[in-house]
Amino acid sequence: MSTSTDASASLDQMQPMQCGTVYQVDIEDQATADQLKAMGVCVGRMIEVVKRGDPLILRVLGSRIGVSARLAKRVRVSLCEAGACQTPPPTTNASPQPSDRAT
Amino acid sequence: MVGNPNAGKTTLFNALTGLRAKTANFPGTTVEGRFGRVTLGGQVVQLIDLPGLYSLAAATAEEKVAGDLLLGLVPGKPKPTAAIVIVDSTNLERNLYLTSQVLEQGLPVVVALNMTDLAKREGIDIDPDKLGNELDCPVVPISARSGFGVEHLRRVLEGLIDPSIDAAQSSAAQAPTASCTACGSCPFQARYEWAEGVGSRCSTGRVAVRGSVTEKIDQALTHPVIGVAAFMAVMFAVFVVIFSIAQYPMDWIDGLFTTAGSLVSQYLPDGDLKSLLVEGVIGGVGGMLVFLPQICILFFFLSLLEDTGYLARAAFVMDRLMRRVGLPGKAFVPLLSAHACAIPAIMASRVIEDKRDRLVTILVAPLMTCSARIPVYAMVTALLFWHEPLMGALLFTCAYSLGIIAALTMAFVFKRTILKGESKPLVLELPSYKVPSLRNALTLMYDRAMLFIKKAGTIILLISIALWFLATFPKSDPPARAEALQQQAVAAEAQGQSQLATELLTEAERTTSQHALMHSFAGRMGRAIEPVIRPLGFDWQIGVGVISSFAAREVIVSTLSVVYGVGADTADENPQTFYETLRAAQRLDGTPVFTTATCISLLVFYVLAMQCLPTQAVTKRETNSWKWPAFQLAYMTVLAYTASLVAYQVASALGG
Repeated sequence: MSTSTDASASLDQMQPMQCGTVYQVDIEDQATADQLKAMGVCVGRMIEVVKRGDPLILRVLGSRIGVSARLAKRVRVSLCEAGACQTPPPTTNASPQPSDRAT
Repeated sequence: MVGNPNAGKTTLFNALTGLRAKTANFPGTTVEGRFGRVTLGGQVVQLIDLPGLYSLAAATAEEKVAGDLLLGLVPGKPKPTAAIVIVDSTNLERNLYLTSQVLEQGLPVVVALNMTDLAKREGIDIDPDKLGNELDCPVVPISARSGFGVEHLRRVLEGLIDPSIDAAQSSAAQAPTASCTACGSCPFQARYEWAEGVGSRCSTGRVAVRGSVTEKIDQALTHPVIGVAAFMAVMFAVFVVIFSIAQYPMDWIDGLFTTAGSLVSQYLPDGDLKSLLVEGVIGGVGGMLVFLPQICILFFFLSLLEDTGYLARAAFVMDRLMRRVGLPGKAFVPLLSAHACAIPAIMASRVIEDKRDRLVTILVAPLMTCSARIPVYAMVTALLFWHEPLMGALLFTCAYSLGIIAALTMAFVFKRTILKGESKPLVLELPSYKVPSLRNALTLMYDRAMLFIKKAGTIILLISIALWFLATFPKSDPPARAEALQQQAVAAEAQGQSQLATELLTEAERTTSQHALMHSFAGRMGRAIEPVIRPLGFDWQIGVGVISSFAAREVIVSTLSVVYGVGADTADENPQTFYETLRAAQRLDGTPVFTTATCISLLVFYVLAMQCLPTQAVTKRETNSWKWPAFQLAYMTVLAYTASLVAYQVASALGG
C-alpha cells in the first residue's frame, strides 16, 4: 500500500475504528518516546484508535493504551483501507513492510 | 522474575513463595522489589520480584534496576542464577518484546506462559513447544490465578538451578534479534518484527478482540464526564467504608493501649519510669497505631481497585483535570488517599513514573486534611460554634477546602519553580478488567502495614520519649496551692466528706500537672516562642501545644487540657468542661484567649502545618534523602505561619 498524503495522518486525526501503520514517532523526550515504543507504538506497528479525545485510547498488539493528545499528534501513521483491520492482520510479517519512510 | 505490568507477576510470586516474602527497596534506589524464598529440590532459593516493565531499555529507574540486577550490577545482590519471564498469553507479541531483551542478558531463562486459560477463552491457542524452540528456552504454560502449571514450573526451575539434572537447559539462549540487525535503524521495530514473527508462528486464532466486556465498560468509565463522576462515587464509597469500618478496630486499639497504660500504672510504683512508660511509650505508640486500621483498609481497597484494572481508568479520566496544576492523572489517587492519612498516600505515589511529578505529589500530599486533624478541627469548631451543627459543618468544609486549595496551589508553584517541567504526558496501558485477587490485596496490605509500623514506629517511639522528656523535666515542686488543696482534702477526709476529699485531690493533681508542665522544658520553650507566635494570636500555652504536637498534631488537644489545668482526660470524658475552661481562659490583660480570630488562626495553622513525624520518615524513605522531608517541613511551616498571620490580622481587624 502506498503512503500518499491523503492516506496518512497523525494519531489524533484518526477516527474511531480507523487503523493504520506507524511510520514516524517524533517525540522529543527520549524516555517518553522509548516508553511509547516499548508498548508497541513504534514504526511498523498497526494501530487502531478506539476512542478519540484527550487523552485518547489506542489499540496496539492486542492491548489498549491511553495516550495524551499531545503525544498522539507526534505519531504519524499511513492509514489502512476501510475495514482492512477488521480481519486478523495478514501474516506478512516475514516480508518487510514499506516502512522506508522511517526516520 | 521479570514481566510486563498486568502479566500476573505478583500472583505467581505469591503462589511460589507463599507468604514468606518481604518488600524492600533495592540498595541506593527508591525502586521497590519483593524478596521471597522458595525451596527448589532441597535448596532454598531467593526469588526476587522485579517491578512490572515493558522494556529493559533503562529509560526509567525501574528498568535500570531490573537490567542491572540481571547483570549482577546491583550492589549487594549477586548475579541471579536464572530469570523467570512471565508472559501474558493474551498479549503475546508485546510480552515477547521484553522476553527477547531478557534472553539477551545471557542468563538461563524460563518463560512462564501465564493466563493460558484466559487466552483459550478468547480463542487464542499458543504452542508452548514451538515457542520454546523459537526462544531456545523452556516454556511452561501456567495459570497463576488457578494454580495450573505452577508445579510444572517448579520442576523446570529445579532443573535450572541444579545443573546436574539437566545441563542442556542452562545453555544461554542466543540473542534472538541477532539475525535481524539489518532491519533498519529503529531497534524497537526490529524487535517487534521478530516478536510478531514468533507470535504468528506459534499461535493461532489471534483475532482483534472488539466489543468485549472491557470495552463496553470503558465506554462509560473513560468518558470525560461519566468517568469522573464514577470515579468520585467509587472513592466516596471507599472513604465511607474507611471512616465507618475503621472506627471499630481504632476503638479496640485505643482501648487496648488505655488498658495497657492503666495496668502498668497499677503495678509500677509512682515515678519517672512509670510516667515514661505510660505517657511516653504506650501513649506515643498507641497514638500512632490507632491510625493503622485506616491505612490498612485504604491499601486493601486501592490494591483491589488496581487489580481489577480500574485505577488505570481513574488516572486516565483525571489526567486532563490534574494537568492544569501540572500533575499527571496518576497523582490523583495518592492525593485523595491523603485525606485518610498522608503516609499511605506518599507510598502510593510510587505509581507516578516521572521523578519530578512524584516528588511534587509527595511534597503536597500532607496538606490534605488527614484524619489526625479531625480532633483539632473538632476542638476549634466546638470553641467557635458549640451546638451549631450547620456552622460546624461549614467550618469543616472550609478547612478541607483550604487544604485542597493549598496543595494544588503549591503543586502548581513547585512545577513552575524548583521542580520545573511539564508533567509527563500520559502513556498508560488500560488492561482488561478482571476479578481482583483477595490474596494479593491482603498481602499488599500486610506489607504496607509492617512497613508503617517498622519505619514510622521506631521514629515515633524515639520522638515520643523525647517529647515526654521535654514535658517532664526539669521537675518542679508542687505549687503551694496544690499543697493547700491536699491539706484541705485530708481535713475533709477526716470529717468523713470523702466525696469532697476526692474532688479536692483531683483539683490538686490538676494544679500540680499544670504547674509541672509550665516549668518543664516544653513550657519554657512555649514561653520562648511566644513573641514569634503572638502575631498569630497564640499565647504561650498554645505554644506549648504547638511544640508538643510537633510529632503528631492531634496531641494538641490533650496538651491544651493539661496546660489550661483541666486534666488530660477531661477533654475526652467531659468535653463541655474542657471547652468552657478554654473559652474562659484569659490573657494577662483579662481579655479572652480564644477569640474568634485566634480560633480561626489556630485552625488555619493546623490545616497547613507539617506536624507529623511518621510522614516525614516516610518522605525520607520514598525520596531516599533527608533533603526533601526537611524542605517539606520548612515550606509547610512558613506557609502555615504566613496564612495564620494573615487570617488572624484580618479577622482581628474585622472585629473578631
